[in-house]
Formats: sequence, C-alpha cells, structure tokens
Amino acid sequence: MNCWQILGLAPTGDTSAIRRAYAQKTRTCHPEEDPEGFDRLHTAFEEAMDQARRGGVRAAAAPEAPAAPAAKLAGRTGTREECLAAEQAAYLRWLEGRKNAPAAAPAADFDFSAAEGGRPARGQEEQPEEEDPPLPPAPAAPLPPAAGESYDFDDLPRQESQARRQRALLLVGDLRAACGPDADPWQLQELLEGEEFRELMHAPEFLDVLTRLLKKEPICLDKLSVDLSYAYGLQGGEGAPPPAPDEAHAALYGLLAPLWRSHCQAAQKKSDKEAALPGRIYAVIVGLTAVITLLATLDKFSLALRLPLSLLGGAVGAAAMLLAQRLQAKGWLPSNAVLLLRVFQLFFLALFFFGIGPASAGGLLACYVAAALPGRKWYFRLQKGARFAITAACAVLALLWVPLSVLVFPEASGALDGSFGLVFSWFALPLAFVRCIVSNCRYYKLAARFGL
Amino acid sequence: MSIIGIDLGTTNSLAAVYQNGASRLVPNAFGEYLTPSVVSIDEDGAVLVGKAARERLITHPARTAAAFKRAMGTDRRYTLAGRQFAPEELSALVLRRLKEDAEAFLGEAVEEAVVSVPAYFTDSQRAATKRAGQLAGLKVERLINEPSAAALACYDPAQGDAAFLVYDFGGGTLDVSVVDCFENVVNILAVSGDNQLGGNDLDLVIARLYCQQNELDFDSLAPEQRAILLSQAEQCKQTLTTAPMAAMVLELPGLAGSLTLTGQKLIESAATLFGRMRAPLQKALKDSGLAPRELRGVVPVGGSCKMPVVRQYLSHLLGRPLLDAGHPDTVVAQGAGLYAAMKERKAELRQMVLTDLCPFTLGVGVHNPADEDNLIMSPIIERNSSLPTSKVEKYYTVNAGQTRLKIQVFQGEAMYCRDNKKLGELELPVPPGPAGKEGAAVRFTYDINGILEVEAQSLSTGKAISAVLVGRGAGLSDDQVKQRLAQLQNLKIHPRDQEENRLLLARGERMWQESLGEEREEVARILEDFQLELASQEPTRILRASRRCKEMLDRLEAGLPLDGFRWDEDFFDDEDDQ
Repeated sequence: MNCWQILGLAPTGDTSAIRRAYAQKTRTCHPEEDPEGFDRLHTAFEEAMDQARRGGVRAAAAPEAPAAPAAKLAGRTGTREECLAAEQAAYLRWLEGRKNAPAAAPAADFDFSAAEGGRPARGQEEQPEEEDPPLPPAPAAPLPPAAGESYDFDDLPRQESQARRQRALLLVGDLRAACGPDADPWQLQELLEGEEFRELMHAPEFLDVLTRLLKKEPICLDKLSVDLSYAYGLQGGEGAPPPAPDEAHAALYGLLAPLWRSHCQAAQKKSDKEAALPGRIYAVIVGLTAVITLLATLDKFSLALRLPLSLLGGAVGAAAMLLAQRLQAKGWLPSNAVLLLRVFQLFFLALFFFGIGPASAGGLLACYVAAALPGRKWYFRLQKGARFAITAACAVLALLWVPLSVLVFPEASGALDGSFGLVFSWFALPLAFVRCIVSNCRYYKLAARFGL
Repeated sequence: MSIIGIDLGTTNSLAAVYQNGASRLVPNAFGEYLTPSVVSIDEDGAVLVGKAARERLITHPARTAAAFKRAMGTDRRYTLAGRQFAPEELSALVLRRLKEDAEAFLGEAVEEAVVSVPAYFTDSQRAATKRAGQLAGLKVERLINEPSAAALACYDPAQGDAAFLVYDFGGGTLDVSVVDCFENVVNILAVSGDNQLGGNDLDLVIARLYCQQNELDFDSLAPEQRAILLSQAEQCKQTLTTAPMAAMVLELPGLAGSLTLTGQKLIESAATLFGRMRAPLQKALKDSGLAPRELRGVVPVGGSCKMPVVRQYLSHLLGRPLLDAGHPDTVVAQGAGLYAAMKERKAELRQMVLTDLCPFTLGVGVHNPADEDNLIMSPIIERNSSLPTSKVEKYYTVNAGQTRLKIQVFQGEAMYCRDNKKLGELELPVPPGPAGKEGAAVRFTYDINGILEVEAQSLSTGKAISAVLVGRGAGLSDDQVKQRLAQLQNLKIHPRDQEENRLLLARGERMWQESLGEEREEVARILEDFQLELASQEPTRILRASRRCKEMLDRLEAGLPLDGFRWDEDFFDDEDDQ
C-alpha cells in the first residue's frame, strides 16, 4: 500500500486535501487506541505532504496562494513551495548573519521588515488577566504599532560582540596572570581546559585580544605557545600549519607556528638524548673513578704544593664553567661536548676543594648555597610574610655569627684550613641576606609587570 | 475519577482539570492558581511548599530549595536543614501539594496525572519527572511537552487551519515548537530548545549589573545577600513588564546602592542571552521546513514571555505578530488539563489528535573500521519523528564466525557513540557464518508514553529478543519506591489550612530582613503580636489576627503609614464583647 492508498486519496499536490483526509482517518485510528495504525497513517501523511511540497505531483498544483510576492522576494520563480523554501533559506541565512556579524555589521542580505510591508506588531499592551479568545484571526495587515516604547535590537550583534570581548579580556587577563612568576603550573592548564576557553576559543574577539597579548608579552608567548598549539590543533605536522579559517586565526597561527616548530625540534633532541643515556652514565662513572684516583695520589703531597695546585685548578674550573655557559647559550656546543666540559670543570673544582681542605670547602659550599637558594622558585611561592621573615633571619644570623664563631672555634683560626673555612662561613649569611633582598625586589618588579 | 494535568515549572507549578467542556485551573489554599515551586523546611522540621517557602528563600536560604527542576535527572543533592534531597523528591513534594489542592477542588481522590515537561528534557530528566510523580503518590503514565500543551490550549478548531510557533520561555527552560493545526489535529512539526536558559538567567544578569554599578563583587557575596539581590532583581524585571523604567534601590549594609533599568539597557547587558534565545528558534524553524511567512504568529508562553523586551524581540526576529492565547503563565497547565482529558478519552475531545515528537535521536552503535573502540551512531528513530513510531533497520555481522550480535542503544545527536548517552544493550545469538551473512533486524518502538522498546530478530533463525530500555519504572523498583515514599512520609507537612499563617510569618521575616530602622521595629512588633495570637489556638481569633496582620504588612510594603492600624485597644475590646 502506498501512502495515497492509506490516506484514501488520489495523488494530489493539494496539501489541504491531504490534511483533510488525514484528519478524517485519525478518527478511526486514534493514537490512544491504535498506535500502530496511527503510526502507519502518520508516516503516509508525511510522505504525501512531502511529495506534494516537492511538487512531485504537479497535476493539480494548488492555486491556493499568489506566488508573486514570494517569488519576487526570493528573486526566482517556481511553485509556491519552492518560493517558500527559498524564503526560509534566505531567512535562516539572515538570522545566521546576525549571529556571526562582527561589530556593527548591518544585516545585509535580507530585509525582513520590507518583506512584511512594515514593522509587525510592536509593544503590544500586556493584559495578563484578560482571558483572550485563543488565536485571534490573523491580521491581514500588520497590526498598528501600539503605544509604548519600542526597543532597538539592531545593535544586538554589536553588543553581543562587546560582551564576548569583555569575557575574552577577562580570560586573557587570567591567562596572563597564570604566566606570571608565582602562578601555579596547573592554573594555566585549568584555564585552557575550562568551559570558558572552549566557548571563546574561536570567537574573533578572543583571538584578537590573545594575539595582542602574545605580541606584547614574549614571556606569555613562550609559556603558552605549546598548549595553545595543542588547543588549536596545530600539532598535525611539523611542516606548514593547517590553513587558518579566517584572518584572526591566521594571525595567531603565524605567531605560534615557529615556536611550535622549535618545540618539536627540542622534543626531538630530548628524545635523542634519552636514547643515548646509558652510554653517558658509563662515561660519568669512568670519569669519577679517574678523579678519585687522582685525588688519592695528590693527597700525599705537602700543603705548599697543594695550595698553588688547587688555586690553579679552581681558576681553570671557573674559566671552563664560564666558557661552557657562553658556548651553550650561543648554541655552538653539541650536547656531548657540554657534558665533557662539565666533567672537566668538576675535576678542577674538586682539585680546588681538595687543596684548600675540607673545612674551607664546606664554608665555600655554604656560601654558594646561601647565595643561590633564595632565588629559586620555592622562594617566590612563599607568602609575603615568610619571605620577609627569612630576609630578617639572615640579617640577624649574619650579625650574630661573626663574633660567635670566633668564640666557638678559637682553635680553628690556628690552622690554615680551618681559618679559611671560618672566613668563608662569615660571608655565607650576608650573601644570603643580599640575595633575599634582590629576590624580593625582583618579585615586585615581576608582579607589577604581570598586574598581580 | 479524573486525571489532572500538571505544569511542573521551574518557578511556579499549576494544576488543571477538564470540567464542563473547558480546562479549568485548580486554585490552591490561597485561592491562587500559581504555586511557587519552592520547598522549605522550617525550624520544627516541617515541610513548607509554595508561597510561604518562597518567602523563606531570603531569610533561610540553607533550609530552602528553589529551581530544582533545572537539576532534574542529575545526581545533584539539595541539603535542606541537614537532610539530603534529590531534585525529584523536592518535585514530589510540590506535586503532592498540587494533588491535595486538586482533591480539595474536585472533592474526590486524584490518582493519575499528566505532567508537562520541557520538550528538550532528556530521557533521564523525563524519567526523574515520572519518578517524582510516583513519589507523590500519582500515577504519571504520560508526560506532555510544554510547548505541545501550549499549542493544544491555543488551538481553537473554530478558527480554521493555522501554523504557529510556540515560544515557551519559562523561569529555567526555553522550548520552541513549530505547530501545524488543522481539522482537530495538532501536529507538532519541530521541537528545539535550551534547557539551561530561562528568566532566572536574566535575574542574574540584572543582579550582576547592579553589583557592577555599585562596585560589589557578586561572586564573593554571602548566599543570603545573593538571594536578596536576586529577588530584588526579579522584582525589578517584573516592574519592567508594565513600566518603561524600573529602579532597584537597596539600603542594606554591604549591598547599598541603586540601579535604574530600562528595557534597552537590559538588552545591552544581556546581549549574550538574547543570542541564546535566538538559536533554538532558528533550529526549530529549519527543522519544520516552514517559512516564517507561513506562520500565523508566535504564541508566547511562560512567565519570561511577559516581558515586553522579549515579546518585541520575538516579533522582531520573526516578523510575525504575537498571538496572546490566555495568560502566558497558565496556558501550559490548561493544555496539560486538556491532554489529560484526551487521555481519558472524554467524549468532547474524542476527535482531537495531538501528534508529539521524539526530541532526540535514538540509534545503535555500529562498528567503525577506522577505529574499533570508537563506535559510530547509526540512527533508527531520528529526532523530530512523531510519536508513536516504530522503525526497523538491519545490521550484519562484521567478523566471520561471529556468534553474537551486541546491540548497544544510544540516545543523542553526536556522530560517535561515546559522545551520546547509552541507554542499554542486548545480545542476540546468531549462527556462525561468513562475515556479513548473518544479521538482525532491530526494531525500535517508541510509544506516546515515552517508553522505548527494542526488539532484535535474527534474520536466519527468526529468534528474537526484546527489552524495554527507557521510561517504564523509571529506574526504581517497587521496593525502592516504597522505601523512599516512606522516607518522604516521615516528613511533617504543614496542614493545608495553616498555610496562610505560615506564609504571613515567613513574609514578615523576609520584610524584617530587607528593611531597616523604624520599619524593621514595626515589622517585629506586628510579628510578635501575631505569634501571641497564634499561640491562643482559637480559630476565630487567629483568623481575625491573620487578616489584620496581612493588612498591616501590605501597608508597610506599599510604603503607607500604619497610623490607626495598631493592635489597638478596640481590637481587644471586640474580644471582650464576645
């Protein structure tokens, strides 16, 4: 049975006849009583309506509505159904255009008010308590605009864009703060995985703000580039980035692509290095054994010989360290050579420490540690109060330690080794104090820069 | 025994019943139709529902829950006075109140109801609604989509054929339906919506705007303060429906400030919301295949559609006039009442047919040759198919020698099954054979009660298995229902006739909190005196006192002086006369 037989109708394009027949048939198979029959009937009805709409049955094309205005409107001729379909498509395009219109772009391609011959009913008076008869007859002409103010919706796309821009500014501000000195590493991750980012990531306003931030703050660009590349799907290949859907995307991709490439290369290198790791461990073990053997031999010499040797060793070690750092910064050294230089440097430093004796070596190490520690990351994570407490403690201890040490270790000044150690230890606390102050200043400078 | 229709809304709930050829709304204990969907537990552990509970929203936010419809079908739990409540349990308390009202109105027991839900409710939300009915002691076999109910109430066969768009913008949800009505048939063509958008979002925007203008931080306010701001924002929004401008002035410490709001300003600050209001309209119209010119108009439904701003936006978008069919607040309930009568097969409505839609796609997962773990969704019943419907698709084995077919049923619109919701699975044994030879016909039957039945039949052996996956029992066994019913039964519920006094006390407390200085003392005095009267336990005395108290609170709230409105001597003289 085809749909026309079920409806008990000859094939027709007259939709109202199909509806009438369908309504008649529902009397016999009401959905409450005969769901299966109703399902069949309804499927047939939909099929028949579809055929009629598509004009598959042209024989009795319904002359029910003048096609002229619609045809003119959509700029084409055809059956009424085609015109209406075109009209709907145009209308949806128009709505879509409003949604995506960037700031203040006029809704161009479909002027709705013209189609209706004037603005439809606006600001109808509200009469909540009145029981209107349902569905008043459709007005032939647009209702006269009732008294009362009317609102302007033409600005909506622009306002929406403004609202998005504000959200974008907030989010980018958060991202910027998350790149700051005392942000937790997971803060950034949370932002980039958050709902807000997912919602905004392709909005032109957000892209604009983000691109500007990245251009202005190289630190942020450094920190964000990898995560952003993943978020925007740039990781496809190491070659050319995927084509950007629009200009705003293109600007961002342009910023991210070189960094992404260097990230890829670095990752490549790192994995190469990891592959070569067992060989290196072996080399280090051999090197260390050699150093210990050498030191054991040197131990038999007297102090007069040891001291110039150790001073020479320290100087060479320091020079090697500086050289290695310089070369590494320039990128001239392959990673294997750096390791060799480090071993070399370690060897001479060990020689130096050995020469000056264990006590002075300890004092020197204390100096190094005291100077280095307050600049590390943990220091920045501390509360403001804690930082100042450490600074103050350093100052107080420095003042106390110098006189105290002479009292505690009177015999230390007798030996050359011991007195060296003591002198070095005097420097450790003031160094730490200075370092604390420098770090505090740096913190505030960075904080001001990142707007924290 | 009649079936009642219930509109279980985010902010307000109503009941309606078909009587003498028309759907009539059921008044509650206060003689009003709207019962706020708010539940509160007072200090002696008794449950308050409705208006009195709503007043306590500000004074006791920790003991009061509102807008729980938004959480239906989720695992969210509301903690009221140290007790945990599922959203459906709170809804059940509201439903029970409506049932009592209907029983008082009809003078007979009510056991079955048709409850309206937003068309865009997912299956778990619908199941939760049915469960709420069960817990309230109502048989809820049938749910009706809110816009369909509205369409049913709006359709008048005498007016001839018409297609229109029902825009149901309530307190917490937005539904859009395109409806074609002809010859006693109400045919829903397309449904769309956003079940997380409503008038409450506008309140939030106004409250945030207020904070922004008065240099407050909304997110860091205490819950009580936020509740006050939101209720003031709501009042401000409601003023805008009748006046061109509304003001919001607060003098409370920590919240002091003012805001004047016009419709245009609201549009500007809520631009994003207006954007979200447009999207479902667009989708529904697209799915329906109708051009806006073919619509007779837009039927605005739901409290938020009373706002002139929203109404104008609608006519602006569609270029069609607004059709006012009854009160936007009550039209859904009226439709639900009509539908309840249709379900009963009342003679007057025998001819009437409503074809509703399945708002989501139902299908099974099929093998994805590119990625074995990532099944592709193969739709069987597509979204916007009209109900009842029954569809068959054939599926074949992937591997040679396969002995079982695993049929996994999913609901949702995403291409890959992992992004859709799994409803259940069946396993059908098939005889081993070469790949693609053996297969099964899978039939999905989705009936008007929202129950999905899946049947799989082997093509070669004819062996069939079937399962009901959605709807029936709604996930609770009888024992569980009994247990939870008993738990709810344990709650003390204020008798219906004391509602009014509870409301007065709650309202007084709220006014005390919102006012300052002399007015506050005034409120305190009124309440104290009223409580003394209540303690007397003499019905006539209490009735008189409550009238008096109400009058005085009304005057205070309207800003009128209370001169000559004391609990003055002549009041007690009256007592002496008796």
